[in-house]
Amino acid sequence: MSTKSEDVIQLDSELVKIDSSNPWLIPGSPGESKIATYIANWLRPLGLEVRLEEVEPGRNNMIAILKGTGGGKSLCLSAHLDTVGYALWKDRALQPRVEGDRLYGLGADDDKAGCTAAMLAVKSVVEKKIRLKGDVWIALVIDEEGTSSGSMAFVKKYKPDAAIVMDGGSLKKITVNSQGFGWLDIIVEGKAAHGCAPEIGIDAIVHMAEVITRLHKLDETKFVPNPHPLNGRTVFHTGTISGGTDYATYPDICKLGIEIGTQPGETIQNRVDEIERIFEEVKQIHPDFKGRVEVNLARNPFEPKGYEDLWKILASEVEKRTGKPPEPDGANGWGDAALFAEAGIPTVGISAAGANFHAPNEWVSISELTLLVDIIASTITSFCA
Amino acid sequence: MPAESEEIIELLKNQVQIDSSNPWLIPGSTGEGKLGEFINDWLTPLGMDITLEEVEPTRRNLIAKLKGTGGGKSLCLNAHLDTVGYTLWKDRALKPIVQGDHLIGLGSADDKGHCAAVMLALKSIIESNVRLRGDIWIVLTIDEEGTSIGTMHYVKSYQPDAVIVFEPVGLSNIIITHQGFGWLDLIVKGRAAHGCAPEIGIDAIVHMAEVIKRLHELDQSKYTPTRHPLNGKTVFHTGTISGGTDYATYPGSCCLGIEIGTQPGETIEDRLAEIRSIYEDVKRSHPNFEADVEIRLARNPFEATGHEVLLQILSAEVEKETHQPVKPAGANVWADAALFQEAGIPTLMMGAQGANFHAPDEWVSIPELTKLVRIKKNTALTFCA
Repeated sequence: MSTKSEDVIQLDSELVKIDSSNPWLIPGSPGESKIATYIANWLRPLGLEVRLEEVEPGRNNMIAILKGTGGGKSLCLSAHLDTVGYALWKDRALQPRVEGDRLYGLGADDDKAGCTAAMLAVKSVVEKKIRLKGDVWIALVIDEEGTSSGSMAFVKKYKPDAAIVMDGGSLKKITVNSQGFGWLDIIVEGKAAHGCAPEIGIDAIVHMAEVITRLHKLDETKFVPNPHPLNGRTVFHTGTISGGTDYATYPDICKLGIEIGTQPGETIQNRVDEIERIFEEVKQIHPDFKGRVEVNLARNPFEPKGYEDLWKILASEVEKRTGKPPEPDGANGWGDAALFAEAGIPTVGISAAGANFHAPNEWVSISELTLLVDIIASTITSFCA
Repeated sequence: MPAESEEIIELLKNQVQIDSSNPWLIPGSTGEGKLGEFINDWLTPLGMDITLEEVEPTRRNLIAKLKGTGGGKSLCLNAHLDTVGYTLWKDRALKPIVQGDHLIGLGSADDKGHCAAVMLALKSIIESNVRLRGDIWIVLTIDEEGTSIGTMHYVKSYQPDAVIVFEPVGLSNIIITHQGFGWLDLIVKGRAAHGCAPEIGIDAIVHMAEVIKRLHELDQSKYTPTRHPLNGKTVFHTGTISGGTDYATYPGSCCLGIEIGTQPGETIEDRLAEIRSIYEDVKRSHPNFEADVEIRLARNPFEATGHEVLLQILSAEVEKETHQPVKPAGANVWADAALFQEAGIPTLMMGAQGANFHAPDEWVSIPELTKLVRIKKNTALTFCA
């Protein structure tokens, strides 16, 4: 018996209507407490043990456990409760609508689809009265769009035997890799002086340009021609720049914020080392160059281990229902799955296709989401047997 | 201290104590009104024709004329009433002190020392009862530290046969040329996109760095080796830079403000042509490069013409006082001299030695100022005879 698309539309729509935009991202936003409570109340009648665990004041992870009889492997299904903001489409973001195969709305895919899939999959298992030996966990976390405090709190406390993180992707692929990233600040110091005193002034912006052009060259000669087979080319772009006081004065300081990726086997130190080497190079031609690099935030790549059994089951269920075996996939964006893997939990990612994430008119494929529910339900049934 | 020095010290101290900081530069500043009134009151007993001409509400040029008997050449002696701000030395900027040969205080050199010297020179001429055929003008302008609306207003209505502009260049120099300048905004357009979408995002800051690098190369390869024999190397430095929104997003735009000079024979169009050529060059390697350049302010260089007789007289008077040869000189800063000359008035610029202009502890040389009073008097007596 398959899940009906009407049920999928109904539940995902209910979740979209509940504003759970992230308050770290947009101060004043409601956050996840309302939606966490809604979901807890939805799951409790199914006989799951439900816990609302406070991660930050007023912001709870929603954790539900379908207890097994014992002696089996536990599987965690994770998705996130929060969304980004919706200032650009205030009029319709929280009013889900269906058009063809698409359900439009804020978080319709990212990531209330993940929440929907977990909830309906577990409901299906419960209703079929399947006796599982292993526990099934639903971990719906806060703050994926912020600093990942939800996932960090979960993996600190809990250690399921495996996890499926449902946050972006499609049924054509199962994500087993992703880049890490760093948000770095590069600060170059000059010396303020009047424009008519070039023997005193040191132009911090000109010096910064020497750094940026070399970063760009690094990107063109190293990152672009050597893309990771799954994760693509190492992410690099600048974010913000500021410096100087006025037209008439040499700029005494220039600050640059960049986003730069790391590939499996690397850490942000690799990028910091490359930047320090660039500083050395610039100093060769500008002896008065003074620069430093600071790591504002860094996350390691997603390199899960030990997921082969889970993969076999999940991939076979995907192939059964879509007719095509899914490909192992990577991503150039980072997600909470990396934190699960770093905690030693064998983890893979899968989701229903969609588009316009973090933008107006976000949508999810209803047909893929419907198939995903059954795929997950069957995966649970085999894995936790 | 000789009596003449005492006289100028007292007059200059009184003027330094009157805040005349420029309100265009520092919104809310007092402006030149009070100082203009003080000088007006000081000059009135001498019997000159004095006008306070309104350029802007409460901001007036002081124009005083010592009428000649007719048929002689008229000479204008110009200094400016306004000063820059003094936030970095609030405690002492308006409390002038004498230390050895220096008078220290805001505007002591730039330019109140020269207002005082002009006033004392006129007083001395009047007291000597010499009958001159040509008129002598004292023109004390507003806004030299702003956008020169004072001088621009004056040259619209008046045309003396020659003008000497007084700024603290040191008595061994008579300035017959100086650079022009431009304050330009370079605006590079990129395309905002998420960090994981390099096929969509266009990094405006990376593109701006390519421009800055080529501007620096232009400075090294063209301006540095082809320094003007009197004005020195064409001024070039950046001023301010800003761009981008956050770490995670490609920056959609970047804006750079620069200060760049022009030499005699050039205009700001020459600099714009070089910048456009740089843009073309960047576009060759970055087909999606898009940029604009806008002029915020531009002034032409100063090249004295028609000044030969005045220069001869003035040089002789300076050498009499300093016992040193005087050299015709240039400068890499722009001054109102350019506006006088552009209006067709033969112009020279000279003045006493000073230091720390636009900075804390600005000072002027008392001995040079004292000599300057006599130089002005004798020059006027000869030129206007």
